[in-house]
Amino acid sequence: MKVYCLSSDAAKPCFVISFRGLMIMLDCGLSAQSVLSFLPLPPVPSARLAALPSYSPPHINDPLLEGELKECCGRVFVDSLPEFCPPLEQVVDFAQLDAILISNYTCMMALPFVTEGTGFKGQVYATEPTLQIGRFYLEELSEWLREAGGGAGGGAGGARRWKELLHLLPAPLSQAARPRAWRRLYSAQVLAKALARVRVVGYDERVELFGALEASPVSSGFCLGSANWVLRSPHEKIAYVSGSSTLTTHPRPINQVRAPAHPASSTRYVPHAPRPIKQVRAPRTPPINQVRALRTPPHQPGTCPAHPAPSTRYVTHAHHAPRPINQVRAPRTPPHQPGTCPAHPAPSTRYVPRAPRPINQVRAPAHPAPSTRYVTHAHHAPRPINQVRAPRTPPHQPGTCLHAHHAPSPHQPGTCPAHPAPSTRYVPRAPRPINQVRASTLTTHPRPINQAALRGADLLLLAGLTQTPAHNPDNMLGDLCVHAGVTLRGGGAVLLPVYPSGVLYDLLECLSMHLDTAGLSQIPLYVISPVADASLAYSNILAEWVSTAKQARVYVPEEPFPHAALARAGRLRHAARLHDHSFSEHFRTPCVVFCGHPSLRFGAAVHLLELWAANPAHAVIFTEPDFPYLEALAPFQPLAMKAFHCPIDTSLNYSQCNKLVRELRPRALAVPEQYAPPRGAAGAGGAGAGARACVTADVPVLALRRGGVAAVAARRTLARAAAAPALLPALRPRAPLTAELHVRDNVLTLLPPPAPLQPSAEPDYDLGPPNVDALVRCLAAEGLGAARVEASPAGAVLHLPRHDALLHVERAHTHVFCEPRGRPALRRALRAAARRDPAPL
Amino acid sequence: MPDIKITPLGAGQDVGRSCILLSMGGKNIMLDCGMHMGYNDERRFPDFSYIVPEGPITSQIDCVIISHFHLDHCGALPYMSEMIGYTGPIYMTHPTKAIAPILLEDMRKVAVERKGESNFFTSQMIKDCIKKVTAVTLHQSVMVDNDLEIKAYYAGHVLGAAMFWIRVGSQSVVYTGDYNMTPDRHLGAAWIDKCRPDLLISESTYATTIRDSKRCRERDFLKKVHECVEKGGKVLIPVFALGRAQELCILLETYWERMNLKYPVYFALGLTEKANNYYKMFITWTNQKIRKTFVQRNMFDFKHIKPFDKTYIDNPGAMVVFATPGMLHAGLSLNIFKKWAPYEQNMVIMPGFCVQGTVGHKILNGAKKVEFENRQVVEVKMAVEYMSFSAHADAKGIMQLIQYCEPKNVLLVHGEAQKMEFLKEKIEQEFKINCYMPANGETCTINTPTKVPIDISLRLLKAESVRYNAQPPDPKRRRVIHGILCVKDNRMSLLDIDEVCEEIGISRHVIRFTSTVRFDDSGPAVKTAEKLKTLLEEKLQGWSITISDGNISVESVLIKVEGEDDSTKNIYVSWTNQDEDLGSYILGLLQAMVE
Repeated sequence: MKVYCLSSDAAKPCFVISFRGLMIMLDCGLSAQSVLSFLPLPPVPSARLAALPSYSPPHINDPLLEGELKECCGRVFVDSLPEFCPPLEQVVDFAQLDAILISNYTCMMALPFVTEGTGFKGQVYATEPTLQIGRFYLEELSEWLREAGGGAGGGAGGARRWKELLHLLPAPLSQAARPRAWRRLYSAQVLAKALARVRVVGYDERVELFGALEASPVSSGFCLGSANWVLRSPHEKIAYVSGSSTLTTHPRPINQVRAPAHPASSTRYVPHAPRPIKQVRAPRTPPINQVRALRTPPHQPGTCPAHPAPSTRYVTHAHHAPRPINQVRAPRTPPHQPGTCPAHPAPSTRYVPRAPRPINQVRAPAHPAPSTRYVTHAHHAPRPINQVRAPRTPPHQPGTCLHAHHAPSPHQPGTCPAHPAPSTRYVPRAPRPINQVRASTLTTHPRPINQAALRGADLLLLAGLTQTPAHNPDNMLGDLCVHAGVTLRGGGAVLLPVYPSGVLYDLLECLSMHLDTAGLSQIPLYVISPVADASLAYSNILAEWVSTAKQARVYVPEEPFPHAALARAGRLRHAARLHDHSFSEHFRTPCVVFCGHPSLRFGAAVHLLELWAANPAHAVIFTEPDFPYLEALAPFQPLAMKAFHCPIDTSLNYSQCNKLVRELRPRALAVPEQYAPPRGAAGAGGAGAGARACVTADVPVLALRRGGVAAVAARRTLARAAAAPALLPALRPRAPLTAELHVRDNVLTLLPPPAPLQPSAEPDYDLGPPNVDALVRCLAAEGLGAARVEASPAGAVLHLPRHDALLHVERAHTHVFCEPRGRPALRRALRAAARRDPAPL
Repeated sequence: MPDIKITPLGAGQDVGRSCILLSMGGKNIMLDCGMHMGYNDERRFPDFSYIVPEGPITSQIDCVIISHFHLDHCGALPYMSEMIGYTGPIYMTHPTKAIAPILLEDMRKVAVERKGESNFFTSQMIKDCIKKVTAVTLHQSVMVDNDLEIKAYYAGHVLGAAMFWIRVGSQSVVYTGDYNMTPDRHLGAAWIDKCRPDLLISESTYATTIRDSKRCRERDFLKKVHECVEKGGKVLIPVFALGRAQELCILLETYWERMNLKYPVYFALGLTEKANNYYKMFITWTNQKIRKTFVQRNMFDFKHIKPFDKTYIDNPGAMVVFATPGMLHAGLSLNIFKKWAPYEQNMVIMPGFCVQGTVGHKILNGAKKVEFENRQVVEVKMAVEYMSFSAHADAKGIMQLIQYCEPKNVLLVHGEAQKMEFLKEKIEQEFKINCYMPANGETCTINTPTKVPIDISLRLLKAESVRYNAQPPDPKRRRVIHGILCVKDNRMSLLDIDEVCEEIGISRHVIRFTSTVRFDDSGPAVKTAEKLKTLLEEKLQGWSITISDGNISVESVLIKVEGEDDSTKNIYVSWTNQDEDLGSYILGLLQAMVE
């Protein structure tokens, strides 16, 4: 068996396995990271984007490059229709594929690239929600791009020249991965054709693949209709686990670190530092309002070096409070005195310290020259792509990560030039009832993962782990609710760039509940997407695919998701596009807007961001983990609106994954190289303090890289056949069997042998020494005359005087000494003796 | 073991009280557990004492499968699980699980509160019973235990109706429940793949009818309703809450809209309204068209159809009322019937089958006077119309299904004996397969050929395929395989002789032949051997020939030269039985050389 890896993005996998003569593609993920190199395509022409200066590399004068590149705040973008990175084509001939198995709708976006115009003749299998919601994703994508196609700036055509001059371009762009392989999105017709190939399957359905394998999708708990695939033959089993989640089974995950008691004085003090994800979770029971407080080690008011004096204010003010992390951050910004900062000359109206800077410690060495600027002013500067991506895998140590802590921490009242005196924006928002936040504990809606079906596989192929291992989705949801609440209370609008399905449903549910309890129930929620109506409607008819709790509502009967009720009450509105009459009529701020695309390169989000970027009262909250948010925001800089990063990725994290692998007990494990233990570190016994988180197992781990092929040792020794009823009388254990082999559609059937079977067609099975008496009779029958039998120490010696032949019959062997001409008769006799009285085994 | 036994406890040459016992491969499965609507005594429920006269029933039944929510298919389930004490697994689809308890509760109310019956299950029992149900989705293969597997197929009879494929070992049975092979206004057609079961248990309600075109019937229905309301008459349509009711509502709704009619259409409140909600939620179970358009407009949000209130019964003027239950045996529909029956301008349309003993059955048979329990007599002057909208497969549909799944035997249930007889003949004629139609309590034994799984060693298969492919292609040539049959852990495998010996840890018995050739050659024996080697190398090109200590070996054939320096040499040629061909060839060579 061979495994080919065609995708470099482990979250958007694409594998091909060849086994028993079949070529089966597992998932068909489209890596969309490439769109970040492009300039946003606003649905409405934007003066700002159109006015961006063109860029050309120093000392190069290439007329072909004219208008392809634009510069925004020191970063260079390609001004063209965005392109995507489809699975590698050269390794496997798509025309040879027999089947494509899709695990969930986030992993099928490249389907048209594989099935259309490639000679593909196979069948695509996916569950019904995967097909429907996948269709929404794909249709939305192509609709956004189609709409924006004409409206973009001058270079809306295909910019190609920059790919030739890649080496001359500045850092983020020059490191783009294989831009020559990038492709434009398919047209709507191609998309429809590709989706028409999908055959819908249900969980635990057994799909027969050409008689050689049986594939069945089993619930993976990640999203509606998400599946892990089990490929089975009578003697082998391959499990493909992609995008799985255990969140549905552990409704309220918690971490033991929260358990220790905390100083009484700090109950209100809620700096929720990111926790290393590896900690063991334990069921918890503490009263709900303490839970948040329990999250961090005790942090006594006033002891934090970053907040010497007036910290009492923050203490009562949970979410703006200084977090323990700013101990780390403090050394970075100490010289930031009003007016002394080179980056902020005088009363900078920009709201400075909000700048979320997740990894600038990592980044620092890469920018030797003006690095001081970055410290205070991170997002105004171009940033190398590769380093920004870095936080997707390395483990964040507690306190070192600044993700998701965008509260103005080092921001002392009155000292910041941006906020002259008692900044009314932050202060008077009194202690927030923290316990309400917990109403938004994340329990996702899909059917729970089915682990039993995956157990004991010969090969476990694993992909689609969390892209944000350092962020606990549960906490992120809490943060999101708080940030949204704060922004809305301040009269600002909240923009959530999301996909049209998936966590969106949970967000709507949790956020509306949170806003209810926070007294913000009058705030309208908007979902803007060309497929918003269909997506919201569909989610409520997929009762068979949701978790038991949601399913129970259907039996009442009520809709499984509350968003239908919200829509009926007029609180939730959806629209296909921003300029829909029905939408713009009702639109009012403050509000919460869910719209695409999470990359902020096309879709309604681009327009809203352009609209709100200059107003610090508004906020944009990133929940989708697919794109590094700073990258996504780069072309919108300078940005005054708040930006929060609360990635909610419910896929397995490394510790959950390792636990799963231990429980599933596969014979071999194959993972994308990103997940594999670093080379040479094998046997280190788990990730050390500095090591990268990885999948560890006590079985051989195979690392797969894009374009790579790996042979997996699944040695087949047996094949399953069925004996026809007519053959049954001939079935005697431990005896020779001759049968006609009937092979059709890879199914083997044994039939009684064709009647005139030549005696020579049956081979001899010398299983034991012949019975001497029988042999004597057979020799006589063959006309060889009477044999003289003498006992010997090891058995018997038969002498045929007429033919001068001697037969030594012993336990392990029979030795015949004879003249050549007598041999045929002797052989016949020996054979007849063995047949008549088969030696027992 | 290779027998399949079927005993209908209900629905054997009969409609109503579907309950069929199936036993195969040592497993006992109950298919449906319905009640008979025509009886009020113990005949209402299947005779569970047949299964086991006394003692726990659970150990006798491995699982219960319910095909759909009609009471003649699930009505006795709470009785069995709560009063008889069955605690084993129960399977049904999600919509059935959602809707069945409502119908059961409705039926219970009618039976207990109106008829004052005792010894009936309670509301709590219905709830407890439904809690024990495992819901399955279409095409999901459910392993009840290690040997018993079930899988549901779409049946199209009502929302959530399913056919079940049941497998034990290599034997399989398909039970259709009620099904419909023509898509209607809200449901799709039944579908099954070519699963080639040993037995197909099919319903045969319409065994002899081939229904006229659906469109005609619909037009007919609408025309009659329209004519009646135009004259100021009242139209009563007794329906069951779920199923036909929704289809007729869609029909009337679109007609009212198209013709711009203003006559009120009412739907008996409660049950049916809720039922429409179920339809909205389980839209995935309806047909393609409704599923495609539901985002724009949910077909089950009716504009013209309003909830009914009891006070409307005496309202003057035309109206159309849908009321439950469908066979006029109790409840609101019967109340309305009593009020409206004596007037000529009114009409009752029976859209479905009526069981014997119900008022519906009586008036359909032309009864002009109907007597009730309390001696009340109602004169029937209103028009009585029968419209077959029942979504059962007709004769054509049944034949079609048989063609789809290619069973080896067919067994008919859920129909009337004479009609079954007719269909049975037709099936046996057309498909040349056996067809059975047992009566209630009669056991039908079907012998099925068993296929035994055997694992074949790949080494054997590869060797066979090499041999086969080496021969000139001939599509008629049979492929023959030889091996040793081994049994281990109750599994049979066909292995190569070496594999067998390896597996049981013995070395093979070797038969060796040795023949001697005399050769006149002077010189040392080693020299002679060298000579022989050159000769053999000449003749046997491409074979590995080695020599050591004067012994030549060609593959496994050994040649040894012995003798004094100056005398005749004895050449011993020795080979195993398997290498007979090579050995005799070499011997022949040597003999030719000598002569």
